[in-house]
Amino acid sequence: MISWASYLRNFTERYDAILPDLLKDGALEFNGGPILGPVAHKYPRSAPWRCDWGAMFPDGMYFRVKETFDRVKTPFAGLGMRVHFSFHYGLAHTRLVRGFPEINPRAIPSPPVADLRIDMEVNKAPHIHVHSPEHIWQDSVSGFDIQEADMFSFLEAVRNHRDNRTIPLVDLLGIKVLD
Amino acid sequence: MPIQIQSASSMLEVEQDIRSLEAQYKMSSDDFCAHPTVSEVVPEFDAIEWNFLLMQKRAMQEDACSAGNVFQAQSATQISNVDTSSILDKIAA
Repeated sequence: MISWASYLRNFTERYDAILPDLLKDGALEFNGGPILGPVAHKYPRSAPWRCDWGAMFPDGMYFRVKETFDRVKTPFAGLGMRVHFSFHYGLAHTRLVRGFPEINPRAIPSPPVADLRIDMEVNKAPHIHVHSPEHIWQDSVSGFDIQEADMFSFLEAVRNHRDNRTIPLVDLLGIKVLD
Repeated sequence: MPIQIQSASSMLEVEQDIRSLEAQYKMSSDDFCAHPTVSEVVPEFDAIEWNFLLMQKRAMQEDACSAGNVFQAQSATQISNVDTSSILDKIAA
């Protein structure tokens, strides 16, 4: 659990720290930068809130990281708990929807698969995708706790992978997919 | 680029966003919530968006119930649909 104020302060510090490196080869952020926000009028500095952020690199690859926090107990407490997240790195489709590359298989015939995507959402157990639409669940993964995946650790791995493409993203995160 | 703190949406805008997703996936929010297997056809980013909108709607309803409030419309963040080629053009320039 975390308060909006703590989340925003932590996000801002880590964003400022990683951004120059992340965009150093001329990448551009979608929608002009991260979209963050608590959403309730009555309690504007508490959960629920979300983060949605991505950038496109000159070689056509992109990342998009998204996470949402729901209310814990009453809104007066002001605390949020992360209930969904999706961290994606891969080739971008040329079509943008709501400012980000299209991934809906109903809208386009073959959306590019992610090099790596780490997901948790309410209708599915935590899982990853590695160069495939196939869901890889936690019991087939060692060395990495999917549910505890950290957005900025993911982005640091993306940055390091782009600095040295011979090291797979999964290796940089310590992910081992069991046979 | 600056971090954009998104202004809170009105209930009307949240409803419109939910209907937009319902149209896009040709299913209702009730289907999406009640039958997890249906969500197999909704990519994770949109599933998260959908769930977040429902979460937002619920929070607004709770707040309205607790205070008898009527929410006023506020402008939502406008995000245009363009092509990634325009981004690559900017990078190249």
